[in-house]
Amino acid sequence: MQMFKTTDGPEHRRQLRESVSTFVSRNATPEKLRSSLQGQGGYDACRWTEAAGSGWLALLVPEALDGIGMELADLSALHQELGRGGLRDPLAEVALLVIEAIVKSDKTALRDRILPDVIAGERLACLAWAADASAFDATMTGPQATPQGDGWRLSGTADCVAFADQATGGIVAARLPEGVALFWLDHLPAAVARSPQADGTILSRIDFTGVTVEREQLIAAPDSGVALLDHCLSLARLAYAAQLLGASETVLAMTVDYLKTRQQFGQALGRFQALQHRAVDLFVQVEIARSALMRAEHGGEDSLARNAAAAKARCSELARRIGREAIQLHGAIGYTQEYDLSLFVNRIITLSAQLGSARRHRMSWFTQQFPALEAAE
Amino acid sequence: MSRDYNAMDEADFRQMLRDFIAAECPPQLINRADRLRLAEARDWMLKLSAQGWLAPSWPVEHGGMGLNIEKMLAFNDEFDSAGVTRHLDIGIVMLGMLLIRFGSDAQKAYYLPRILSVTDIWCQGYSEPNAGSDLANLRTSAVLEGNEWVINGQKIWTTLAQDSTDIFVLARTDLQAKKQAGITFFLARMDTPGITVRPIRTLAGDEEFCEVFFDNVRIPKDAVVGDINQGWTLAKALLGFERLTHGSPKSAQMALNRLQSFAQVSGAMADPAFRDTFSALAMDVADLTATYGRFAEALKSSGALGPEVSVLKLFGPDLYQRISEAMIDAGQAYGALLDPVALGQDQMDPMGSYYFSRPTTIYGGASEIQRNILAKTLLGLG
Repeated sequence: MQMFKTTDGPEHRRQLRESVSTFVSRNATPEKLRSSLQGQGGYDACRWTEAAGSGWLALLVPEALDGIGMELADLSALHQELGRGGLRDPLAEVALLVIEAIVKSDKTALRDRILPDVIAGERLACLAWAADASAFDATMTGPQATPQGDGWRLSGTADCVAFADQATGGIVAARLPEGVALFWLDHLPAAVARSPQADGTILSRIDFTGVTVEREQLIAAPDSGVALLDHCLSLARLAYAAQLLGASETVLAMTVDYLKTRQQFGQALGRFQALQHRAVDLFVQVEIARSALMRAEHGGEDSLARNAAAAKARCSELARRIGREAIQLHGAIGYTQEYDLSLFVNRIITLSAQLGSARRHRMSWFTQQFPALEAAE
Repeated sequence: MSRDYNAMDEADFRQMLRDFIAAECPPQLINRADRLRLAEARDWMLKLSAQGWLAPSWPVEHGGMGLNIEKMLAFNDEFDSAGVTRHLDIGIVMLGMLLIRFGSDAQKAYYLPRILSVTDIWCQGYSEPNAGSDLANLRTSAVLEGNEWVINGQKIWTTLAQDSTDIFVLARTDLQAKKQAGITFFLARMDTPGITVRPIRTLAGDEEFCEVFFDNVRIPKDAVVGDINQGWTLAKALLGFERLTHGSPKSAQMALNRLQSFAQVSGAMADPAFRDTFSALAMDVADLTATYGRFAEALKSSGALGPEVSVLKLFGPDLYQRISEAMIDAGQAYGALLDPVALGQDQMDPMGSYYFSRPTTIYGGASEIQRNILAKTLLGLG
């Protein structure tokens, strides 16, 4: 259910989509998704190992660093397929918030020590940075660092840390007077608060007060940490947008199938024009959102922040709308947990809430796209 | 010997068009929301004709530029970006293309040069009072009497019939056949006895559309394109291109530009609520443009467009209308002024945008028809 089926990118991307799709249909059936929501926050160790083994954490990592060396359009294709399956496993979070930061770091000794394990999926690492739920960019980093001897002493908390439960190590961003630094920690402090989200994943708050870090743990010095953190956040937003698009396509397909099969008043619901037109309006929005995502894929590094914001805004709005319309078009069955739609609606809402709301991203895009209007204020 | 435009480097080709537009296009034809009348457009059409550019899509042997799809899209893009308002092009983009494909040699030899020299201006006699979206329901009839067809009936919403010299008409030639099957495609001079034109005043106050009455109108037996009772197939052959044109981001982009200037001068842009609205509209224009780009790519690689082109015809005109609503809000208490509002050395016409955007969701297949098409073809519903 997509326009222009024949022009779907180069051969290697088609193959990537196919292998992810096969993986998803085998490892992320609704039953398996449900079972990984029991006490594991959506994470499944076997699934994780296989995904990492396929190189999907290293799609953007240069081949010189044992990565795959692919492009943004490939990353987007991967996450569209993952989103289609409603997976919760932290492929975006680890690959784009952690691995990307390590890869872009100029601290090669540290990089060479930790990168192989993280890429291989043997070490699940997370990023802790946000001051609170309103944090949108690096200027809203929570933890602080003060020089102590040859290293630093940390204080303060990071909120909304994803997959801290499974993490064995990770990156913490910390504010200093001269900027934001990123540090690698082999062990994270235990979470002081854990909050489950609608999709079953957990957000943790971590208090870093009293943690000391050495110079060798530095991933980005204060003068480069803001740019690096914001770059990583943009990439993660692009991946979330792709997952939101994929999830939207699944939900629309489920809904259209339901309209074709469900009989009322002696005919399929899909025979009623009022319902046909609602389904078409959703289809149109899917294609408009796909265009926004493609702009981000092909826009290049200079416009990544702007285009990723636009894609996250567009795909979040799309997915939220499709989620609520799907419930309505299904009728009462759409309101049950048992029906698989629930897995996707919950995932959609969670992704739309993470890393900035649609409206926030739209305004961010707007101020970058129309700088003259901003200056006039 | 005309130039081989398709062999030109695209950047050179575009520069050539830009230079010509800047030098030759009258400034009052730039960025207009309304439809040009012949009196205003004729000189510009003659200039394009003299340049050999009036019919970019026609093959070279018929006096066109012979542009391939890639160059054609570049041509449209340059004219759109410069804000060049559409002239009376129905004879070129519709009838001419149709004659080239389905016309007889005699028809091509007679009509095409007259279109190129701006001697003949064509209008399209399709819609009727009871056949709008349901076009196949048309009832205008044509009966063969000796060497003449006798046409009776009425057309409506005929764009600029009062400025036209000729009309192409869909009329029923077999009353027993199924709806689409008994229709034939006719050509008629507007000064034929029995044809009466009555302009319709639109909501915008202008006379863009007309009623055209046929009262025992006699036309020659050979004033038919294609075979008898095959008119529907001919008419449908042109619809894909029409929908791509109607879904172009041009109208929405030009309206957004006007809205931006207007809202800055009126002060509305300082209002956070208005900025929220504006940012959403601007993002819609950006994503419509990107979607249009995908269609253009698909057209380039496959040479044809499928029913999905309705996506553009749905989203583009709807967006144009939403921008026009914001224009009225941006005008605040001046939002409903009938006369244009002075704006620096420019002027703004909020009601104009509101009015001129209305028919865009109705003509060329109403939005509801586009939804029917997509439901059936792409979603498999119905």
